This record gives sequence, structure tokens and C-alpha cells, in this order.
Amino acid sequence: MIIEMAASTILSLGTVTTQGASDTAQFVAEEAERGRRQLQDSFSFGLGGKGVFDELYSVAFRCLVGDWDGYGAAPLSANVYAQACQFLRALPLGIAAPSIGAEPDGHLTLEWYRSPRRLLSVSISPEGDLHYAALLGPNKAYGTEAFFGEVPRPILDLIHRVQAA
Amino acid sequence: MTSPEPPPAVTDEELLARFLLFSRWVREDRTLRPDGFMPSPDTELSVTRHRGLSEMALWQIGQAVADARLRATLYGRADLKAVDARRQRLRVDAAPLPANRNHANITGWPPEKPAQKIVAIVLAASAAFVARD
Repeated sequence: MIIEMAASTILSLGTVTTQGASDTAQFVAEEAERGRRQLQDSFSFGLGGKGVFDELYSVAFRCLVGDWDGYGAAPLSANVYAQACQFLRALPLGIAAPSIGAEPDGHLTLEWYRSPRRLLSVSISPEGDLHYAALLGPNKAYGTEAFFGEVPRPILDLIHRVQAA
Repeated sequence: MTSPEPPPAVTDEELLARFLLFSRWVREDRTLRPDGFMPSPDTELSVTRHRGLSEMALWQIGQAVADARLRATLYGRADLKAVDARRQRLRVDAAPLPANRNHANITGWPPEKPAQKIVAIVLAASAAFVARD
């Protein structure tokens, strides 16, 4: 079986899901997801070429042991690292790369930044909760979304608003 | 033996220093990430009052924070006015320690993490980074 999918279609997708229940539908979804992940990890299209996964590893390694901030910070867990990898891979291809950080409670953070008053910060918990807060000039937006393998729409919208000219 | 006098209350215009031992809390443009202003799990943000300290004495306190950890580097500090925290409905109270009489805590954080994050973003935007020479 040969599956063809236009690059533009793949590029526009986040994680590929299917409503279909048949073996064929499942196969198509899995192949599309595999292709998308390869592109996400690729140098040309994905975050892999922007060094984000290296940055993530570096931060996680630095924060493996508690008190990494000198003020009693909790260590980062393997779970939070895995959740962050999965979240990054689920981002639509071609999206601006976030910078990686960590918080004292042991959460990893992804930041999309234009200026100190125009940014989005997303905290990833070991349980897969996404706590986000954005400052867009005088406007504030914040909340929590569960991560089930797809980037929640409110977070995608905020990424685009931060990046918009 | 008499106990030392309690320190005076923190005034609005006082500068507070947050020592930075994690380089990623400072962006390449030398602005500060909100991550460094998130409270510890016990919902306090630990700071040092500039009050009455020379620049050298202030850095010595920061260096002591770094020296208490293995292989830690003091990258700099974030300076913030107490009033900027109070505008976010936070409390700033003197909390002297045996090794740091100028220690203070920023408390009164909202319980929900997203609300804490938006406060931390505003604090980070108000603060100034001072690099360790």
C-alpha cells in the first residue's frame, strides 16, 4: 500500500488522529504520524534542527538534583521530561521554537518570547497538565489544559498571537 | 544575652535582590524569565533587601547562597522594588536569617499555578538583571 500526502497537509497538522475504526484508518493515521514525527525531528522542517531537543535535555540534566536553584527547588522527574518531549513533537511543523526553562516546583517551561510584555510561558507537569500564562501588552491570559497528545487550541492560539507582527 | 532588634518593615521603595544560580533564568537580551520569580513549593519567594548593604556585601550574601550548593555558579541577581510585588497583591516581609539579616520573603501568592505564573511574568518584566562581575 502506498500512502501519499501532500507536504502542506502534513505541515499544517499537529499530532495526527483518526476518527476511523478500521485497520486501514488506523494504519493511515499511524503512518502519517510517523512521517510527521520524522519531519519534526528533521533539520529542515522541525524543532530538531533548531536545537530545542538538545536544549530540553540540557535543562533536564542540569535540574536532575534538587535545590538546583539554591532555594530548595524540586528535581525534575523523568515523567516531566517525557511529557515535554511529547508536547514538543505534537507542535505543528514550522512553528516558532520555544526556549526551555525550569521552575522551582520541578516543572519544565516552554517560552515563546517577543518582549518582557509579550510572551507565553507554558509549564509542563509530570502528570501532563499544561499551566500557561501569557502577557500580550495590557492583556493577560492564563489557565490549565490537559495534554492528551495534542496541543490544546488555546495554547496554539496564544503562540500565534505572541508571534504575530 | 539579648536577641538582636527586629529589622524594620520593608518599605515600598526598597530594592530586593533575587540571586540567580540558574543561567537559563536570564534571556540572551539580559531580560529575566518569569521562571526565576515563581515561588518555591512552600509558596514563598526568597529575596535579600539591599537596605544598608554595600554592593560588595550584597554579592557576598549571593555567593554564600551559591557556596551552599555543590558546583553552583552565581550568575547575577534580579533587582526588584518591593512596591512592584505589592502591586500584584503580594506581601513583602522581613524574615531575617542567622546568616542574612536582610533576608525577606514575598508571600501571599495565589494558590493556582497559572495565576502564579502571570504574577511572575509581571514581576520579571519589572525587574532588572545585574550580572556578577
